[in-house]
Amino acid sequence: MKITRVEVKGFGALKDISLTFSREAPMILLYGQNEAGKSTLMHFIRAILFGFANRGQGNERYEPIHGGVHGGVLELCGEDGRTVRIQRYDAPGPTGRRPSAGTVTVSYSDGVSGGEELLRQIVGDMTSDVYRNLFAFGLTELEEIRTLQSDEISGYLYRSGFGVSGASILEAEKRVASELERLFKPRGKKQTLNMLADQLDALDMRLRQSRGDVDRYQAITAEIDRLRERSTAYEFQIREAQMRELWIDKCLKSQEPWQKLRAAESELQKLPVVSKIPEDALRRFDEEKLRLEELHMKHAQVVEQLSSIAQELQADEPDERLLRLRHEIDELWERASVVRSLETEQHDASRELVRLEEQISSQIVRIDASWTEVHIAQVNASLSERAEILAYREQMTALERKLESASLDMTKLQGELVLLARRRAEAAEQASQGQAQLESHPAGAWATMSSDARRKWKQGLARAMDGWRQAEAEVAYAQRSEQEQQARGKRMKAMLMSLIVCTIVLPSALLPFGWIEPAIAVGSVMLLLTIVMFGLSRRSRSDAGRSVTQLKRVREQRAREVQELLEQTAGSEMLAAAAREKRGRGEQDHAWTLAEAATWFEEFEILQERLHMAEADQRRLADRVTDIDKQMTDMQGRYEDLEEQQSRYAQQLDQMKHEWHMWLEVRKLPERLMPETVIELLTLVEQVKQIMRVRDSVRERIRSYRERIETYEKQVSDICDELGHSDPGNRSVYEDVKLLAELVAREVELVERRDRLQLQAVERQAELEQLVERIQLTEQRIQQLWDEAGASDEAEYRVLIARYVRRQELQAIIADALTQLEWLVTPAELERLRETLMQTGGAALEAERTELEGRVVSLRAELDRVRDERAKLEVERDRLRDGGTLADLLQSKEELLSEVKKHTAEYLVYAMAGGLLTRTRELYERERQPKVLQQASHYMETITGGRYVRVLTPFGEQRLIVERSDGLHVDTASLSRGTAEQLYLAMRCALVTSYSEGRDALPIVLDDIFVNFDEDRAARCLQVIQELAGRHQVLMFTCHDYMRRLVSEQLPDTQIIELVV
Amino acid sequence: MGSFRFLHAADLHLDSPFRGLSEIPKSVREVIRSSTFQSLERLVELAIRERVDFVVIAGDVYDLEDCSIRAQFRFHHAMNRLAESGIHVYIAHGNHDPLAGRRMPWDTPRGIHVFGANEVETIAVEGPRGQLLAYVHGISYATAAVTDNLAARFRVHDHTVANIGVLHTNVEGASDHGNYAPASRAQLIASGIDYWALGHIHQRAVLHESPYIVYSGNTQGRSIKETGEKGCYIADMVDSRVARLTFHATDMVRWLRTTVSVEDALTELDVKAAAERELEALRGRTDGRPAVVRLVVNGSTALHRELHRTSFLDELVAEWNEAESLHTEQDASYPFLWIESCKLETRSLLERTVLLEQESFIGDLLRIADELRSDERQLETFLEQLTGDLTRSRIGRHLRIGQALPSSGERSGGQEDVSELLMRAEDWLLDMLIERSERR
Repeated sequence: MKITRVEVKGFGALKDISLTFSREAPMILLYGQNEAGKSTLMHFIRAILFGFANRGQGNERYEPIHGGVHGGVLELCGEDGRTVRIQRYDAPGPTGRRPSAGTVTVSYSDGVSGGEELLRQIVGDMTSDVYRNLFAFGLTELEEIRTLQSDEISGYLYRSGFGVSGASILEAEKRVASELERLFKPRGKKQTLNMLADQLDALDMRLRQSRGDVDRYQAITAEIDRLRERSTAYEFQIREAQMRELWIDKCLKSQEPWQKLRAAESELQKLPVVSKIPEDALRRFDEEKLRLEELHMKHAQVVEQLSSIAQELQADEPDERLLRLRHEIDELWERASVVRSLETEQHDASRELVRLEEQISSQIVRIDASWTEVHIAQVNASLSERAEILAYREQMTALERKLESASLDMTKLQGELVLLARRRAEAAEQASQGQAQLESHPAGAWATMSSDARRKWKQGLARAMDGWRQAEAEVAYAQRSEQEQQARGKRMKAMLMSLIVCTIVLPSALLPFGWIEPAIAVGSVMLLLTIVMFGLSRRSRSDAGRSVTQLKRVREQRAREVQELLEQTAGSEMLAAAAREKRGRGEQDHAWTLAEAATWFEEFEILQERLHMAEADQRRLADRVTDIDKQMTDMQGRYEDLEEQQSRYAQQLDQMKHEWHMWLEVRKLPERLMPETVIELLTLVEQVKQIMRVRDSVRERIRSYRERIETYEKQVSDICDELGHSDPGNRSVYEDVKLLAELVAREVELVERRDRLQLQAVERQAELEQLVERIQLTEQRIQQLWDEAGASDEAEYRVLIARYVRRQELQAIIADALTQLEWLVTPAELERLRETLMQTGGAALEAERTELEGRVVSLRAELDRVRDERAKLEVERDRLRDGGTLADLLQSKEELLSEVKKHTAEYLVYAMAGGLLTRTRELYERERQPKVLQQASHYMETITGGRYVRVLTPFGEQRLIVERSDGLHVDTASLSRGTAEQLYLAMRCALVTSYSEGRDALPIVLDDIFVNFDEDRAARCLQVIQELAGRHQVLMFTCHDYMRRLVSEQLPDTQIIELVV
Repeated sequence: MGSFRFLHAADLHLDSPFRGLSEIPKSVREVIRSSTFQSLERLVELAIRERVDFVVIAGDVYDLEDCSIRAQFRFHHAMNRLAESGIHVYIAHGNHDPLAGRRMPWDTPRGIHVFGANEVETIAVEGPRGQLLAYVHGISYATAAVTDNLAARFRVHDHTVANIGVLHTNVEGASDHGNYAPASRAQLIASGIDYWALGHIHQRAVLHESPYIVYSGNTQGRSIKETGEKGCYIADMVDSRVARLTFHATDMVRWLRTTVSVEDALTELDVKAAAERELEALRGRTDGRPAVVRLVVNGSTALHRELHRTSFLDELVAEWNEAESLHTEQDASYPFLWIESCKLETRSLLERTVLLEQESFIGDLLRIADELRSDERQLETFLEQLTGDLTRSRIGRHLRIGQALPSSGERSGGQEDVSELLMRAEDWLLDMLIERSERR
């Protein structure tokens, strides 16, 4: 597809410019100075094909600077020879909107035309971006690598021919790397295999160590044997030392008894031998000596006692007379206290007697001053007497009470009679007043009527009144309905009239329409209605006037009836008076109205009620007067009865008093006494009598006491006389008795003492004889002891005995010491012990023992150590024999190795996966580069004259690398600016080729892109462009003259157009 | 002349460590660790019960030259028991326990004979009544690395009774064992020995009959490479001929390998069910022994990526093992079934061939992988490039990259394993590139 014509109407600085391009020329060079509009022209072509830039992007949009229409025309010629004209203006489209891209009109030379949809057919699926980046570009676009990186383009570069996404390959590589790192790193520490290697090394070390187990086992066995011998030796030494220690211990323990033994033996040798000595010699001697002394002392005491007894017996002789009377005196002494109490009692009784006499005389005076004891004795105070007195008293009291009550009743009756008389008078007064009132009532005459007649009259009047009222009401109703009838008649008439009109008009109105049947129907209906209406109005009018007059007549009649009834009553005078009054006011006679008649009727009702009440009062008063009269008659009768009773009681009382006086006289009692007083007197007499009896008994007691006392005194005086103790003074009888008793007692005691002393004298004599005998025996025994010991006196005896005792003690000590020693050492050892102890001192022995103890302890420790060591070794030996250290280590190693194997396998899997990826990638980069890159490589090689041979993209990456002819890969970033631009140009050319395959390709526009190329390369570039130009129209813009020259030299077919500012 | 019976055992490897196990709980570990000793006990009991006339042990009693004292002690104890029962034992030491190794100075009980290393010793074995039963010939290794043909030194001078040769040797240079004291089958046949009681190869085998050339195999499996029943032979001899040769299992813990196909599995739960079914079935095949199992999951399945990507199978194994461990803790005699590991050999339903044809990154990747796989040298170079750092590091000493395995003891695998790892790498990449891209 080629551009044949460009018509710019207004675009940036360009205005009304038209260019025509040769259809045959493969390339068109537009040469112009700066600002000639070259770039604008390129943008114009882009804009016509793909629309104006958005309104926001001011510069890109290229609005005309000088105003006017924005847009222009592009004429294209397709491969099929059809030409098409594309117009784009910033103008409203068919919808009326102004799209920012402008409005397109496409018209083919064969007449087909349209808008954007036709344009899309021309540009195909090319987008504005792709066109700008690959087809129509300037230096700015060329320089930018990223313009090659838009998704649409990079698809061509990187994706084609993989089958899988590059990203997933990269991801796989990353995974491989990370897995490998996890498993192993040459100098790593934490990686699984590195860690296993550490463990293996450690294990190997231990294995090497445990290889020597057999040697160790043998060495240990030998050592155990050696240690066993050593421990046996130690054990022997310990035993030896212990035995020695034991011996020394014995020696030390033996020291004390040993020393005792030796001391005792030497003392014994020095003491002379004592041959014979009595048994228990010293004690026996001391006892005998003590006993002898005691006996001598007792002997002296007894002699003394005997002489004192003899003296005492000679001193006192007893009195025989006193002893004879001894019993009598004792008895009198015993009775003395009884007689003394009798005297006291006699005295008390005498005092009582005096008091009683006084009491009696005073009581008698209280009864009667003239009375004596004789009078008292005469009075009989028996119970029967008392009963009689009480009977008299009862009867008299009863009669007196009856009299009193009769007189009281009489007084009460008199009071009541007076009261009744007063009440009767009051009632009579009231009755006469009521009668007078009744008689003076205005309707008095009417009142004279019987109540029956009055009732009949009233009923008649009530009926007449009702009739009148009804008649009045009917008359009023009839008048009202007559008025209504007249009003309705008028309305009826009006309706009738209108109906008649309708009846005529409606059918006639229907007829002109030609609806004949309805007209007839309406007409007939109307007619019928009119007739009915007419009938109705006539009927109602007819019965109105008839009834009113008739009703008025009835009313008159009823009024008359009422008036007659009222006038015929007894109260006619009152009515007549009322009528007169009316007439006086000028009213008509007959004009009793219904209201007036009703008032009168009510008046009569009230009057009648009051009359009834008055009559009832009158009757009640009359009844009361009658009652009172009857009561008064009764009371009068009762009063008379009471008077009679009173007189009868008075008579009976007098009779009674007479009888009492008679009774007193018989008993010689003072006659003025009342019965109550007599009872009291009797009680007093009884008391006096009682006191008199007590006095008599006291008198008798005094007499008996005196007798007894006198008898006692007589006896005492008799004895005193006999003994010659006659009373020198006035001693009482009791003092005499007491003196006698004391004398007797002294004499008795004296006799008893003499008896006791005589008995004692006998006893002492016997005792004396016995003592003498015992003294002799004791002296004999002492002599015997001395003889036995061979001693002549006591001192010698004692020395001998002391010597003997000491010898005995020493021998006991020796025996004891020997026993102790024998208990410590065997008899066989005794000699050795003696030797040891003779030669070595205790201190030396102690020192030796301490030393031995120390030795045993250290030997023991040594033995324990050796045993421990041996036990340890034995354990190790057993462990070596039974344990599987080596085998365990080997097993552990095997297990580690299998771990290693597992992880190594894993490592290898990843390593090989990585290797496979790398290899495949290399293959790809070498042989399976996309076609585009192959093409680009070709172009690049051409442009650079073989300096760069290949363009490639590293696997899965979106960047370019160029391969120099020497095989070196160079990153685009390290290329010189010119070379880089050449690379991008080569890439673009390749992409254009690839893109345009099989399509009618759009023209290519190159806007002065050779700026940075040297001439050589620029020339080579033209070769490439020439290649392209075979398939595409190429528009090349330049401001450089050398380019123009080059083009015209290399591509003579080029159409060169000069743009002038 | 007459009949007798003897027990032939070899490769006891007492107190040997067990390979390929990691993270085992103590209870399980103890059982496995003591299995070589237990197996020795069984051997002794078997000999006594079966009333064998004598026992021959063809080397590798101990696992190490400088073996543990425990191992020696136990073996010493076992020999004492046999001696007390009147059973003679003839021992030839091998490459793992040459005479040069350190030994405890315990007295060898009467009736126990250890062959010297200088020359082949010949011992006349007498029966209980003093009659000559057989000649037992044997020679021990002086040092671990004996490359001389020791078999050539055996001489038979009396053919009237049975001649039994006891030797630790690699007949015909079996590839996966160290080539010690190599001998050829023909040479052995021609030697005149009636019964070659051999040791060294752990997989029991009767290489030849008449004369009998027998590897009794080891008495207890020690790694997943030594699967199945392990034990010893009892040979009944009549007139210097083998009348009957009976195998007796003495292993205490059995090592097994089992495969579960998940071709039909639709969900992970199906996989779990299938695995558990297989494991339970396996229990019946251990004769009441505890066992260590390698679970191989294979088949082409839609779950392929899921299984590879998630830790589902690891969790399954962990869960199973935890339950087994718990049982063992509660009852030490519980015959556990411990899963040593679980190998995923499933294939994706995603057509690799289709991807391989694609002109795409993936296609290229798969083609590169295939190319590597097909060319061992290229693969080696590839690996060297990738693992240079690793092999040069401290851990490198323990590894043999190229076989991608720790260096001790293993003698198989190699290329196969690397291929497998390459496959895993490929799977991982496919997952990363395709499935994740698609998920995006």
